[in-house]
Amino acid sequence: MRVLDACKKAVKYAEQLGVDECEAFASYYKVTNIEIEKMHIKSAYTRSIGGIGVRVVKDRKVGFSYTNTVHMRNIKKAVEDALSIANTRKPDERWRNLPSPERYPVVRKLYDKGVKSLESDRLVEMALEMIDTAKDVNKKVASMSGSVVAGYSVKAIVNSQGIECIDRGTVIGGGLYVISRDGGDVGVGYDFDVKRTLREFDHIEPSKSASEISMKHLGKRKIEGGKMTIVLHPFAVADLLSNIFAPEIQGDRAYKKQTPYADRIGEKVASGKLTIIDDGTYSGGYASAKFDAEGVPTKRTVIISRGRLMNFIYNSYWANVVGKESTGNAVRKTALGNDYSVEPTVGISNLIVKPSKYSLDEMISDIKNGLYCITLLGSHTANPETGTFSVVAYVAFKIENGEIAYPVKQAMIAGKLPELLLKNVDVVGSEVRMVYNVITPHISFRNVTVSC
Amino acid sequence: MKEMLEKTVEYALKLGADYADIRVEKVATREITACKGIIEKAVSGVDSGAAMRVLVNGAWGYASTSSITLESLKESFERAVKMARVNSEKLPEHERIKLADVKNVEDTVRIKVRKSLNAMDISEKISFILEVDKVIRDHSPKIVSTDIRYGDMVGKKILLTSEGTFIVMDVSRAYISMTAIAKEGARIQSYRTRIGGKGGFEKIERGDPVSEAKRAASKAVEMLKAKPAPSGRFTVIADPLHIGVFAHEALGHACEADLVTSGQSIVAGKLGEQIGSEVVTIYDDSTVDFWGSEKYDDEGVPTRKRVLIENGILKEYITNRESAAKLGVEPNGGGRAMNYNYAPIVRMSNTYVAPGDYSFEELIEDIKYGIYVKDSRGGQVDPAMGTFQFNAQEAYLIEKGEITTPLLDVSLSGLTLETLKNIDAVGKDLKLSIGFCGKGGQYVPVGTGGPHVRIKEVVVGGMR
Repeated sequence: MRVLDACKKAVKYAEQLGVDECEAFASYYKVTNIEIEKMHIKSAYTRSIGGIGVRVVKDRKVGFSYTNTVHMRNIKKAVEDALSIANTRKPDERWRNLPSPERYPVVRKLYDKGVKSLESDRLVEMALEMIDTAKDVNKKVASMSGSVVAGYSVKAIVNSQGIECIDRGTVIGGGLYVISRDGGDVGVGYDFDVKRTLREFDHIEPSKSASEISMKHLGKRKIEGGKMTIVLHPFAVADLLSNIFAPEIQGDRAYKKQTPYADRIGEKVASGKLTIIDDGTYSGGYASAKFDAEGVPTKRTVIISRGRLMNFIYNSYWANVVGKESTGNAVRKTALGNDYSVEPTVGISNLIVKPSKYSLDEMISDIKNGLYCITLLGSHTANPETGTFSVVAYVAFKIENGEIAYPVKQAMIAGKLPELLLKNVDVVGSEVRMVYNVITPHISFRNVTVSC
Repeated sequence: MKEMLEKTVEYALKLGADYADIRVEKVATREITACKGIIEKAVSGVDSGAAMRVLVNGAWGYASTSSITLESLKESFERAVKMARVNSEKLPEHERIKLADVKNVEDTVRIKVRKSLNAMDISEKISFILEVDKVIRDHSPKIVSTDIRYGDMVGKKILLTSEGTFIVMDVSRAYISMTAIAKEGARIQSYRTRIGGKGGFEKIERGDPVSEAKRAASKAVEMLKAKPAPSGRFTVIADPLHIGVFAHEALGHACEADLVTSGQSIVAGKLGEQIGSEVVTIYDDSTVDFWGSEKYDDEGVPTRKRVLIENGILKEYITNRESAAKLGVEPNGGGRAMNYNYAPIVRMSNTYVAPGDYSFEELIEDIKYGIYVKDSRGGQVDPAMGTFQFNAQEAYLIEKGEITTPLLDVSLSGLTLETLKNIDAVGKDLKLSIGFCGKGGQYVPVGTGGPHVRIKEVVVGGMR
């Protein structure tokens, strides 16, 4: 059964049962995944995942249920289960209504039939090219792991307020983690690329770069801890922003006082060098789409403008609670492909840090004593309520007298992200990377505690 | 069902597979969340589907489908065989996969359940969640918010292999996490506690949710007084929940045989060597009655207690059938999959440090200046380098053998092989905690734990 038909049938059935409102979200994903291990291809997968999630409202009581088998019998059961859950709940006085139809923006480069029709043989070839590239640039490569993934998705939403939408998308990604050995010394490097269209995707360059990093990561030295300037690679910036900053700008968390930014709209909360935007309409963006997870048009929302906090992000429910418009930030957060199984909550689309004009070389040339951190370990253990983090800069290089000097053996960096963003930003770089749904340049911070 | 599955596996062999297996699952899940007395989310649903796996000329091919009909399963096996063929053409001879031999098993595994999660009405679960939420909020006016998350899953998993194994296993797990958020002036602190188990709702009740809720609230308030932690190298006392994360992150991952055989583990080639101090013994045990246990893994291999380190000597790795064949050992049941959308890979079960004979007072009395770390929101490791990070949810300064100032969120880091040697005393208590571990995009339930342990020279990532 096609996803849009499934949604229409679910809503119609719910209306027959006498609900006040109903929303059905159905998705279908086809993903082909070639896995690399050691110096060869470990396995080849193809996965088809899909299902339908139904939200019903009766007397301001909301219930949700889902099924991953879109037979009418199971769809009916999901609707009935959602209604029976709704009936067990107390009325939600904050409930207003499901969103109504609006015009959708034109968002480019979300779908490429070249990705959809890629044969697994071509993906296997790409994976082999990645392995060969990594081996060619560096004779000390001892092992690697990685993957090439091509995915196609189609999503449909129908609700009783008249929303009826369907869209499809593609994504192709490839990443390689390379291990180099020299005697007992081990160096590691990681790089990847992910794009929505085949033409923009490059699997060779990241393979080369991962291999080069892993080689440069040999010969690590112990360093002295203390306060120093740290330059964060876009991977490290994205890691901290998505684990700490992204939850902190959610309108629901702000309303519930679960973020340090609560009640601070209009205030200067970050360095004047920082402008951060949430943009679901970004052309070719990893998380770009015409509509969000409840059928509301995606938007471009300025979160921080030259250091000033401008907006939080909302889905329709939380926008109603605070009397604002939805920013098109309804998401269904879950493991890949199971989005039909969760209710929409609030989350970032693409988080974009506006670049400045300084190249990485220029950023580093001013630093006497510093640390260049490419990848971090443990950002997911940071505390978004307080913004505190204490992580390992595990692929990191010492900066001495304006140059990258040598890889470091062991270093941790710690701080409170909101404070760092306010008081410690030194330079924002010029070259942006799309690190999944965070699009950012390098950023350097002064006076950060490094523990060794 | 069995007959249909046999037909599909025979079909895969006819298509040219040397080995084929199929896993069929049907799992109902519920998720309820609450914040400040309001139920924010109540979801129930059912996921069902099948995973097909084939070996053709020593190369893997996989496929999965949510449609469990003879026709769809056959079609999926066709896709899997096609994928394996493509893969096989490019595979060098020495990398062709063999599976370690196992005895065929025919078994039905039931889970003892006193209070069935399916039979219990969702309204009863909702009132329970609102009750613990209220307990947290009533604790102190400083509690400004709560985050209560309840989840359960109930169902069945079936495995059938072309060699003749047929296993039907119950699935039944429930957990709750309770976060209290306290605020005073501009300071915010949060604290999370977790309870859960394999079985019915009784596993949550036995974990004493009301007192765990109170503990979350009182810790969140207490930590408002926390000061920034010092940074540098210190002697550390880790509590059972924290040392569990160490056992899991620092050693457990490095002992996963897929990483060992692909040159991605710091302990590869070190079996029989003294890699830790003599007081260190670490197990990964899938046979205890706890959250991370299974009787068989998802390849149909009976699980057992694996002795990773005994008195500091590396004894064995955690294996699935593929890695066991490469290492020439008997597989010990480490092949687990998150669900039917994923293939089994080498995973831990319940990983813990074995108790020693120190009392808490003996561990702490000689420390002039150190740090006491408790519980954890998790950690991460690079098993190839042995570099690890793990977070402490709660920490205190130790001064002259006494616990003094509470410290703000802090993490520890180290190198696995150095840190194992720096463990110099092990306490006599033992406690396990529930969690989920992510690897290759798959999250599976795991237990972690141990006694109180003293470690020298640990890097503490403080802010001053």
